[in-house]
Amino acid sequence: MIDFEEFLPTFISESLDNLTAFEDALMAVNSGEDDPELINQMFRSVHSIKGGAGMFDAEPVVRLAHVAESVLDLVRTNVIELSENLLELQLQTKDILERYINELACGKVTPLEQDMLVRDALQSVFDKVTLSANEAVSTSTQSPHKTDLSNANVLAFEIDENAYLMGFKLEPLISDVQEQYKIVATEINYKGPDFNELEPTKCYLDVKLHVTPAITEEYVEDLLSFSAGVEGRIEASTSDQQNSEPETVYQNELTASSRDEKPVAPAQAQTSVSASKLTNKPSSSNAKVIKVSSDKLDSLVDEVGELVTLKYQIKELLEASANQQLIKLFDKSIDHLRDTALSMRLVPLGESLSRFHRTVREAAKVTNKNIRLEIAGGDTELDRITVEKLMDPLTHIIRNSCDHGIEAPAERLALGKEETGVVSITASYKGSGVSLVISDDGKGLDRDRILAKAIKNGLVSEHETLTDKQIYRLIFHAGLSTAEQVTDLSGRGVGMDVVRKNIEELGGEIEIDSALGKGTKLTIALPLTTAIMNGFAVKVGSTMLLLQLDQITECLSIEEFAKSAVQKQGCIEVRGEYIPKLELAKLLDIADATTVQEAVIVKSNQGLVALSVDKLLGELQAVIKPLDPLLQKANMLSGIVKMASGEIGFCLDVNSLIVNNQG
Amino acid sequence: MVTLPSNCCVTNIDVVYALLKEECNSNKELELDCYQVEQADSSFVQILLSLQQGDVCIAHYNIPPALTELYAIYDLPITDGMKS
Repeated sequence: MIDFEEFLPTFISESLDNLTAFEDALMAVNSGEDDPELINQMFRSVHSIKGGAGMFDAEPVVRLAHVAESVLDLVRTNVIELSENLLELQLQTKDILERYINELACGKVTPLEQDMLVRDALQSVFDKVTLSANEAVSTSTQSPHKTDLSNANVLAFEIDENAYLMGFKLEPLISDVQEQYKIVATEINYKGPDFNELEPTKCYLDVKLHVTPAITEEYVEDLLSFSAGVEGRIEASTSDQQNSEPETVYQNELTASSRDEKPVAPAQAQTSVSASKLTNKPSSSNAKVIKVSSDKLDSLVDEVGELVTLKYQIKELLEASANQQLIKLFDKSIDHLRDTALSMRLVPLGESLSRFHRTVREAAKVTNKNIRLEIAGGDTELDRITVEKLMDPLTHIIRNSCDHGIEAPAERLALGKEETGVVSITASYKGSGVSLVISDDGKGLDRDRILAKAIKNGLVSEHETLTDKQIYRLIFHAGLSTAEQVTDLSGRGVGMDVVRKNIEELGGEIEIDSALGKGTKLTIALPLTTAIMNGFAVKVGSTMLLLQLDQITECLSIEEFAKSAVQKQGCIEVRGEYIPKLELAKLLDIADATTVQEAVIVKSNQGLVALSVDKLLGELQAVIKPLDPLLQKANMLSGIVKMASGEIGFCLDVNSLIVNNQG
Repeated sequence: MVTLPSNCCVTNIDVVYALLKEECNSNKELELDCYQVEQADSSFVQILLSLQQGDVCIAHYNIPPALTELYAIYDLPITDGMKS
């Protein structure tokens, strides 16, 4: 028999995708989109989850999904509207199901108390409508039901002979159809041998269900998504079968790879397509998308990273052979392998950004404001790990925009603005990385208030002259909140500090700009991936340090460094410009550093800085590994790299280095 | 008369088939005592259908809810005690 546990990771992954699609559709309806397909999408999502959960005995999931689906069915058939209350209940359903699905991934689903409340509320909506409908029917003078096959269409199951061995069960499929449609007739064709020749564990049945109303392709796709060994086909109704073109063949994804697609005879005049058309996924024969566990991908990227670091050593060996063609080919192949491996971890940002529709909705509700979220550039891709770690800082930023940026409706109207404020997120590729711009059309930052608060808190002195941008940047300092009222959403002054730190940990930068009365714009620049670093290696004593290559503007040799050194105030002079100099040996307390120095000039949040080092080693690519927990408090370091030679290098976080130096 | 086991699903269908085959070879009129049947599925239905292909007569007795439901799903014209 089939081991269903084998399909659990697929079910978990697809259910989480379904829940995201469910919430996206719900939020689209909430924002006023009037497309019946949105309700259908929600219905299909929750229906698929219900179907799959039954296979894994996840009763709480099945129960909640069932009642949510029943209510959505009333919405999609225009019996009831998706009221604010119902929308809220469906959102809560999504949250509970998400929790259950995550629990199921760990082995066991524990029913929540909130589940019962939501289920009861949904059930009462359903009962109220269906009871009144039943009353209406019982008092009407309708004629008795008469089976009318001419109005039915046919769902035909073609069952593989080995389907039972793959765990196929016909009855749950029929029950499912019965829940959604009215089965007006069932046709069973036995196509097997005589009784005496029968192999009882083989399946010899063809089953046709005549159903009303018209069955949909999406429904059949969902119905069969977790049934192995069966194909479904919608055929035209009995009365017009001869004239119409039979429709689509559905094939379960699980069996697609193990079965040959059956050719369809021209005489049948059937349009037979693979499961890909129905699922919008490619068929097994020319599969373009497969699911791979993220652990495997991470491991692949790690291995490729190791190979990239070995590349330089292997190249040296190849150079001895003086075969330039081979060296070129090797170089190109490794680079291509690296790029391909890294691209496999890239995911479109849109899938994750769409969750902020709900964040904005909830923030608007709490603050009694009208706020719309606009997302652009959702197809921009970024490393999966970066995207995951980006969500918390983005949540802070968006909540801040809603809470402090966007004005109350009356205030906006008085200012001549639209009643509804807009928060927008725009993603795009910029250089070798990704830029995310989060802006709002709210009140903007009050430069004077930020400065006053910073002076009061001792962050800047009264006599310091700062540009507007430098003042705005002060909001990223710990403990600086100019919000008059601390709310549930924001205003505790810890958020923006954490935001900056999180972004910098991702190897990114955050910039802020604002115009009083017009709004605020935060620009986050992120590297496409944080897994492999394009670095520049330097040595201080026997310690190897790595800097991000794109932060480096210039390197100074021993002679140039000696020429440019200015003895006073720790600066060096480069072409007439004075640049602050930091001695890495001193800052990092490296005892075996030499006195003969070179320097590397790097860009930082506070402008150019010269770092004096013992030796410039040059460019390299390396896999960054997280720091040992013992070293994580050393915030001047952002990771470690292991070189092909076995030597360990430390990745420097230049901005933290400067902050530490100032502190 | 064959007394069917409680499990007439695909997981136990080999046993059901063996019982029926033994009985069928000795008697063209097959009588099934379904009293003990608690579970059955389409694999059992197809055995019944394969029997009906030939000239075997089947009589069902003591049809329990598990089979009544199954027969209803498959719209099988078999009722308690009726020979088809």
